[in-house]
Amino acid sequence: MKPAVDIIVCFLLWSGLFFIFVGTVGLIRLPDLYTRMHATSKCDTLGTGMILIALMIQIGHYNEVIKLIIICAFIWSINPLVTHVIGSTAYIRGEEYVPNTFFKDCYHDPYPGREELGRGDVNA
Amino acid sequence: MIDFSLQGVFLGLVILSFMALYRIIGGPHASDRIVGVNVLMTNVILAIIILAHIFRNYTYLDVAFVYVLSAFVGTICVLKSLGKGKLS
Repeated sequence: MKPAVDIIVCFLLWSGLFFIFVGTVGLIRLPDLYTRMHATSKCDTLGTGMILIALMIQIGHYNEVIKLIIICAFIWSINPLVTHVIGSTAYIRGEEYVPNTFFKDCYHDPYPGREELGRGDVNA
Repeated sequence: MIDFSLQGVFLGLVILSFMALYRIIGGPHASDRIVGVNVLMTNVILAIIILAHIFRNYTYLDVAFVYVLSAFVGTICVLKSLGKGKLS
């Protein structure tokens, strides 16, 4: 029983590190804010979940496992939320993007508050 | 095997934090730096939790818990300041 659990924990740890590595390589290599955001948000959420689940299996006491579950829930709810706010803020400020980017319905029904904020009000 | 994996994953997280620091320092705009800070936050939280398990001192989990919330509030404040031009 023990070697099987060890193998599962090691697999989860290294695969989580692999997903975070892929996200960080995307953060460095990709050309644009939106593509960087796309790379980091998903890979970080998945890698964090895998490493935290591995540590939950490895630790095995009730108090620490409950704390880890709470931290996991916070990260899984905070990371997409922060990514969404980063994207909408960059869209409001008019960040530059790569030429073939396609914003769906943004030009017909713009983001609320885009007009009165404008691009000239916010200093870069 | 478990100890080797924990130490190796900790070392990998530190290296990935420095790779995110490259984007934080050299990012062309402020939003790129915020994305880098978000990645760095996640890596530091995982490193704290792995250190807590390596040292068998689980009070560090509370430190990670507080760090999640403070980093979230800080990121939201910076984004609000960038979007509206003021913090109110």
